[in-house]
Amino acid sequence: MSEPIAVRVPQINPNDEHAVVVRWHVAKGDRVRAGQPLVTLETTKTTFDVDAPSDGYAFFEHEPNAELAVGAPVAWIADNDGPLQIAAPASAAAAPPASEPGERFTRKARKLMKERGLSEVDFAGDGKVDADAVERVAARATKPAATARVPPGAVPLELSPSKITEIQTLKRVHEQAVPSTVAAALRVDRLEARLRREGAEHGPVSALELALYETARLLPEWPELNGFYSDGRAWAHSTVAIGFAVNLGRSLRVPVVKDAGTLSLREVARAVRNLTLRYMREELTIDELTGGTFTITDLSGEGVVHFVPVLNERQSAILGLCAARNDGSRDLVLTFDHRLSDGMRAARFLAALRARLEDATG
Amino acid sequence: MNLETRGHLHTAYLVRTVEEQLLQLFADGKLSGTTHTCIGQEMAAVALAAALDRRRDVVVSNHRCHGHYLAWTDDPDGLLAEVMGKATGVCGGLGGSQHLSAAGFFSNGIQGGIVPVAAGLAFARKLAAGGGIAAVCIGDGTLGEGVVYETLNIAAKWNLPLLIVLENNLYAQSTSQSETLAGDICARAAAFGIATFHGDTWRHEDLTALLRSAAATVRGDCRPVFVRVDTYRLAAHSKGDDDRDPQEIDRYRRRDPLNQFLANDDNVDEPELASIRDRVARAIERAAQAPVLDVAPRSSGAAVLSWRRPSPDAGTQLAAINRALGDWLTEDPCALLLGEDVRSPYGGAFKATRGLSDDHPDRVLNTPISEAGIVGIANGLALGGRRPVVEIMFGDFLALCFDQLLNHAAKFHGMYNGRVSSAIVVRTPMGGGRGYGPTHSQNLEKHLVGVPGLSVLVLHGRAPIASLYRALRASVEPTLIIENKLLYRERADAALPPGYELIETTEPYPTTVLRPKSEPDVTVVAFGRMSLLAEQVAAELVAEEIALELLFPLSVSPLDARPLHESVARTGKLVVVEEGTAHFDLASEVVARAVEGYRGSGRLRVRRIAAQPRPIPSALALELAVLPSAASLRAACLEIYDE
Repeated sequence: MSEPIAVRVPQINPNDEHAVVVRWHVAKGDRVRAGQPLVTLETTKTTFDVDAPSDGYAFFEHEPNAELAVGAPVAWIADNDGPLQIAAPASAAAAPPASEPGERFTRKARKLMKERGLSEVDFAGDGKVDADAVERVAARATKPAATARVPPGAVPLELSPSKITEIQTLKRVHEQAVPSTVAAALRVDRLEARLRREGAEHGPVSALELALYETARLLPEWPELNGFYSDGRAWAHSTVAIGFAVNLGRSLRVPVVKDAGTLSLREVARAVRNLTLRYMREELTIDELTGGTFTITDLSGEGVVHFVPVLNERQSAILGLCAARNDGSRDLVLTFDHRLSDGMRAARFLAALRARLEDATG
Repeated sequence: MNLETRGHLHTAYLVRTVEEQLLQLFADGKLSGTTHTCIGQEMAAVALAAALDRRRDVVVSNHRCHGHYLAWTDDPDGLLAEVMGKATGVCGGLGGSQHLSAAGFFSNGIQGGIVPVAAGLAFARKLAAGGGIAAVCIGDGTLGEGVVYETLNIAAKWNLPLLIVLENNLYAQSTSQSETLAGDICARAAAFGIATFHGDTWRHEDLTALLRSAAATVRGDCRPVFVRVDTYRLAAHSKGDDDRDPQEIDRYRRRDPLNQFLANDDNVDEPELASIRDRVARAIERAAQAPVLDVAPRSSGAAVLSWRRPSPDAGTQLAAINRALGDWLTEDPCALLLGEDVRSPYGGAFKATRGLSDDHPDRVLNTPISEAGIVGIANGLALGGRRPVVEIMFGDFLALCFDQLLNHAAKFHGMYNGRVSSAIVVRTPMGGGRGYGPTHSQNLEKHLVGVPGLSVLVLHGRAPIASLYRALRASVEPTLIIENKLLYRERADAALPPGYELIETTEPYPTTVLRPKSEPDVTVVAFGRMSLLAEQVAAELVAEEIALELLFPLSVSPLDARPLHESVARTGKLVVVEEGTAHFDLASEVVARAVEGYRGSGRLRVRRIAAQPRPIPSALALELAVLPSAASLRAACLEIYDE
C-alpha cells in the first residue's frame, strides 16, 4: 500500500490565504477518477472546484464551512478503501511524545506547528517534515500577531479568514494612501424622477445601477479618481472597471463590471443583476472579482444616511451611496487618495455626478 | 646551673610571660577566639628546639604551639601580633593562635593530621639529602587518631627522618588519660619497629640530652624515633575549662621546673627576667598599634572571555593521563607519584601509572592502604617544595582523606598568608557503570566543591589532559582531579556531532564548548562522563532540528560562570546534567550562577538531571536505572525546548 496522496488547497490569488469548504461532490471512501471534482472551495473572491489528482479512493475530514489554510490538505486519495493511515493530531493535553525513529516531524517542526496553529493533518501524506516545511505552510496561513497591550478583560473576537485578508489588504492601502472624503447632497425627488424615466424606457433601474453607469461615463475625465499610486508616482488605469460591494448574507464581495464606460444603462443593469445572482449562487469566478479600477458601495438599503467608504487596493477613489434623509436629500460620498487628487477636484466630480443623476425636469 | 640551662629557663620564662600576657589580654576582652597555653610544659619545647638544627630541620606543632614557636623562632612580636590579629603577625593575623608558619615551623589545629604532614616534610628532607629532619609535637590525646598509626607505619617502612615528640600531660582536653588510653604509649610506636625513648620536663637537662640523642639517631640513621615526654599542663586546656583536682594541679605547680627556678634566688638574674618582661610588653604595645590586614574581596580575574580551538590529546584519555604524568616526572625532578598499587607491573587499578615506576623507580611509590596518611604525606612533601601527585584508587575513598584535603591542603596557603605552597595533586576515578556498587561507583564532587583553596577539576570526554597538567605545574594550591572510569577509554579527538564545532576558553582550566553552527536552542552544562551523554543527545537532536550548546566545565570549583552567562543569554534554557546524586548538587550552583548573571530576555528555564538519590546498586540493570541516562537527558532537553 502506498502513501495516500494529499490534495491541497490551491493558491487562487495572492491575497487569499484561506479557503472555505462549500460542498463535497463525493462521499468519504468513494472511488474517484483523476480529474473528477472533489470539493468546491471558496476564497474571498471566488468559488472553485478542486479535482482528484489521480484515480483512487477519496477521504476527507473537513465539513462544509471549515476554513483551511492555502497549502493544507483538504482531501487524500488512497489506493484502497481501507482505513486511512494518517497519524492522529497530538492531543494538546498529553505531554508531547519524544520523537521515535522514523518520526516524520522534527521537534522544531512540531514546535513551529503548535505556534502557527497547524496540526499533523496539515502535512499528511508527505515525507519528513522539517521547520522549513512548516514555515512554508504557515507563511500562507499567517494570522495577525496579537496586538500589544490588550486591556484586561478584553475578549478575543474570532475573525474569518476573509476578514483577515481584508484587513491585510486595507492595511497595505492605508499604510500609503492619504484618504480624504467629500460629500454632496442629492435631491431624492429628482433622482427618483430620473429612475422612473429610465425605468419606463429600459425596464427597472436601481440607484446603484444608475450611479455605476453615470460614474463610468464621468471617470475618463477624472483620471486621478480612476487611478492608483505606486512606486512613488500616480498612475491612471487604462480602462474603467467598476466594482460594487455586495454583502447579502455571505461574506462581502466586490464583483466588477468590466469596461463599464462602453455599456448602455440597460447593459450595466443586466451586468449588476447577473453578478449579484452569481454571488447568491456562489458562482462568481476570480475573473469577475478582480480588476476593478473604481468601487461603489451602497448602504442605502441599511438606512445609513452618511458613512465614509474605505479605499480599496490599487484604486484611488470609492463612491458611497447613502439612504435618504428626512429633508429629502441623499448623500453621495467620495473617498479619494489625496496623493492623486484634492478636495476641490473631488467636489467638482461629485457635483458633476449629481447633475447627471438628478433629472433636471423632475 | 650551667649557662645553657639558665638560657633554656629564660626561654621558658619568655614563653610563660607571653602566654600569661595572652591570658590577660583575653581576660581584658582584647582578643577574640581562644588560645591554648603550654604553661607548665615549656621545657619540652625548649629542649626540642635545642636538640634541632634551625638551618635544615623543621618543627611541626599542634594547637598548643606557642612554646614550640617561641623556642624555635625567639619571635614574640610575630606571635603576639598574630594572636592579636594584626598584619604584622607572622601569618598576617590570618592564622591566629593555632595556625603559625615561620621558617622551618608549621602548626595546625587538627589533632593527628599534622603527623603525616610532618612525615611528608621529613620525606622532602630525605629527598633533598641535606641531612635535615622533621620533628612533630603531639599530645597523648592525639593517640586516639588513626592517621597517627598510618603515619608511624609509613615512616618506619620508608625510613623517614621523623622525630615524634609526644608530650604526655595526662589529659585529653578535660578527660583523664585513664578513661581514654589503652595499653602503653611507647609500645604503640615500638610495634612499628620504631625506636622509643622516655623522658620528662621535670628533669629538663636530661630531656635536652635525650632529645639531642634522639635527633642524632633520626638524622644519622635516617629513620623515625619516638620520644615520650611526661609533663603537666598547669593552666586549663583552653580557658575556663579546667575540672581537674586542684590539689593535683598544686602538686605539679610546686614541682614545675620554671617555678622552682624562679623561687631559687641564687640562680635568678632579675634584670634579665625584667628585660624579658619588658620585651613582651613592648611587643604587645607594637602589635596593638599595628594595622589589620586588608582582606577586601579580590577581583575575580579578567572580565573578557576569550576562546580558542582546542588541540585534543591523541589516543585514549587514560593514555593521555599516563603520558602527562610521565612527562611531569621526566621534566620536573621534584615531581613524584604516590598511591596504592601504582608501581609496575600493576600500574594502578585502572593502569593510569602503568610503566612509570620503570622509568622513575625512586619517585613512583606504592603506599599502604592509608588514604589519609598518604595525602597527609603529600601535603608535607608540598610544604617541603616537592610536587606530589597522589592516586586514590577509588573516588569513594576520598572520604578517608577529607581532613587532609579540607583542613590541611586547602588551608595552608591561605591561613599562612601565602607564605607556603601546598600544591598537591590528588587524582581519583569516580563514577558508575561498571557494577562496582554503592561504595566504589559514587560521584562525590558535590561534597568536595566550594572549599576555598581547593581546586576541583572534573575530567570530561574532551578534557585537555596535556595542557591541564602543564597548567598544574604553576599552581600553589591543591588540586583535586576527578577522573571517570568509563572516560578512560574515550578519545578527545572523537568525531563531533554533525553541525557542531569545538572551542574552549583560554583559561588554564578551560570550559570546553560544543557549539552548534546554527543558533543554539538549549544550553546544556554536562559534568564529567555526562559529556558523552550530552554529545549523544546533541547528535540525536540534529534530526529534530534542535541545536544544543554543550558546556563542559573542567574547573568545577571555582566555576567560571562567564561561558554559562554567554550561552543562556542566547537560549534562555538550561539543562544541567551530572552523574552525582540529585539535590544539593553541582547543578544547584550552576543554576544559581546562571540566574544571578542572566542577561537574556524572558525568564530562564532550567532542568537538572542527576542520579537518583540512593545508593548505587551493583546489578547492571539497577545501576542503569539509578544513574542519569541519555534518554533522561534527551527528554529534559525536548521538554524544555517545547516550553
